[in-house]
Amino acid sequence: MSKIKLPPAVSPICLSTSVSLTAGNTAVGNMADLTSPLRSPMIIDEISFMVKHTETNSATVIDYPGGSIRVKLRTSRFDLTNNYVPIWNFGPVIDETMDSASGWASPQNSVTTSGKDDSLQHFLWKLPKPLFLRPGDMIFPEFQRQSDGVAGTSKVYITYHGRLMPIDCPIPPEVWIPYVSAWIPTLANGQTYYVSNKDHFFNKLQVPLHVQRFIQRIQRTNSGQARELFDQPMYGLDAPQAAPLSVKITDSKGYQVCGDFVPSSCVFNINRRALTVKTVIDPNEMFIVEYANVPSTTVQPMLSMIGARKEAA
Amino acid sequence: MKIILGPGMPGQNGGVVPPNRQDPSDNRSPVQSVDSNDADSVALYKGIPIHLYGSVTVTPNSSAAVNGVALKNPNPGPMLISEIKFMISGASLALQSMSGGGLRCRLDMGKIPLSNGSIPLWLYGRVENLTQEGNSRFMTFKWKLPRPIFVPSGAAIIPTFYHAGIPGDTPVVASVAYGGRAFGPDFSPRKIYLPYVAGYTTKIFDIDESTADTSSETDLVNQFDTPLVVDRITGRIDSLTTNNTQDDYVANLYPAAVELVTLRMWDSLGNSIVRSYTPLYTVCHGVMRSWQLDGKVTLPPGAYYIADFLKNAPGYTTNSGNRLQAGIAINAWREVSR
Repeated sequence: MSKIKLPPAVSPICLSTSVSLTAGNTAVGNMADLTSPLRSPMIIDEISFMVKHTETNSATVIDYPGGSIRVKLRTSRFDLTNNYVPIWNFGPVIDETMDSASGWASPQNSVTTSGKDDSLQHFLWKLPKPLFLRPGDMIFPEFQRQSDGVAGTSKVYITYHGRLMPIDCPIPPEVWIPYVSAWIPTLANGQTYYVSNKDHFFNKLQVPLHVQRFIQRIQRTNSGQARELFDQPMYGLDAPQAAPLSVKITDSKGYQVCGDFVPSSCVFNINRRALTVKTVIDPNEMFIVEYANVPSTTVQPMLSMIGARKEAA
Repeated sequence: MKIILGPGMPGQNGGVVPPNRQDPSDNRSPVQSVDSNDADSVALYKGIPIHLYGSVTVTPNSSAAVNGVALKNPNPGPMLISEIKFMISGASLALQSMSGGGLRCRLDMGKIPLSNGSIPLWLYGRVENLTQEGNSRFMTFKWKLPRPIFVPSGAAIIPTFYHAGIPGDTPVVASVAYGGRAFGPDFSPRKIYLPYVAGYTTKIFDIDESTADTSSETDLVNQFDTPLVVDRITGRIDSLTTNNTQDDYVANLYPAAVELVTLRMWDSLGNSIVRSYTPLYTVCHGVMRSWQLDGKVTLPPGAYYIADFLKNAPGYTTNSGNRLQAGIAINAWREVSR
């Protein structure tokens, strides 16, 4: 197919909406906030999330990580996710101390919500390839909050940052569509080994998938609290573990990405929670991920594969 | 294209020799050619590293300029400056805290403005370390230029600092440092890029009030006859009390107050940039305080952006006396012909 040169952008554009979620609920944002004004085509460069969690009992929660909030993204024609994906599994950590690792929870000596405690997290997904949206098209977000046992309400902002294109901008014959698939193993008491299947890192598309990276996050929920365990597996829950949480990755042709079970923090850069792979998997090919030594049902690994594919517009 | 490097560059005479002090017994060519497409792609790995520094004490509600002599290349020849760093420190222990919103700076290179008036120091670049920027009496900010700026021989970038008068009557020491490369007199890039920052600072909001404030056509504007390539949009919120000004995060206004300041934006043609009132830190990412555009958008000559701020009432208990001030800036560059 012949390539066309797109004209310069008219202006930057930022579209944002928010939903409020209690545990176990789903919600869809206001679509009118996320559509292109005047039905102009757009190019989306990045998607960001902000979660403000308000807890009614300030004694219990000061952190609220992004693992419980999940989102399914799609345009009118293409899926951007394989299912609901935790919002912290889209992009790597930006800043170890100030980003989403533990979130922002402040003593609030200047502004107080009486009897409440808030926490705040930011997550950013810089798309592997900019996403061209035809006139009138948009990215539909469907949010879901897990039954995480954490009290309070989460207000989730989703924001698209991009460029507004001229209204007469030609439609390219092919467009890059970002794609994220996630695997959150369903944990069972006494079980320490888990393996992914065709629902997870399988290329069910009709075109090759350019895989950019894997991202692993680990969430620990316990006694009505949820927080990220970024020092897993070396220190486990509260003490060093003899057998750390380990991961093994192979592809469907038998090639080993990790030669054998490797401590997961040695595979996924502990500062970015990411493993850059830069590879292409053909249709009906897949990665198989195995976890070993998962310590308990309260320690939840969440793994995602981020990439993009070319589709006919 | 070819970039001509003067003598005395690393690797040419076995070390760094100032351009005007080449060993006369060295009969090698006085110039060295390297292939390059752009001044900023290869040249930054050539030449001599250079770092220039100047400081000035600024008293409240007044401005002061740094001595230009300190900011000129001490060697004959031009420079490519790739980053500008600012530092605020208390002139006395009376200063409790002063943010990058309280001290502003105008940058000029001769008759060429590099900023649209006085811009708060923390709106020049993105956040690199928020906790460090919020230290009580000492703060640093960095503007990594989207493209290095060519400073001709004998010229200098002159900063003029302005103390906005908050906190009260405490003077501060404002420092500036330029990092880049110095070249021999023959260095002459084919393309020259000039960075530019245009900003708008809102009126001061009482934390309990509900009000609005809007920038004008002369704030976030391209005042030149060449297009501006927008690198990023930065936004910050300042927390003001009687004795100090602080980043809102450092002032413990997070996370409850994150929705207090919202904005929407449009351009001079009426195109929506931020369609509906959106918290500032979702427009400019909360960690970086920046919306990275990476030069993918241009602002035509004479065009401008309008930022319409809406300050929401908090709806919950606040400490009386707290005030807020928001700021937003476009960080851009333009190409000029020689």
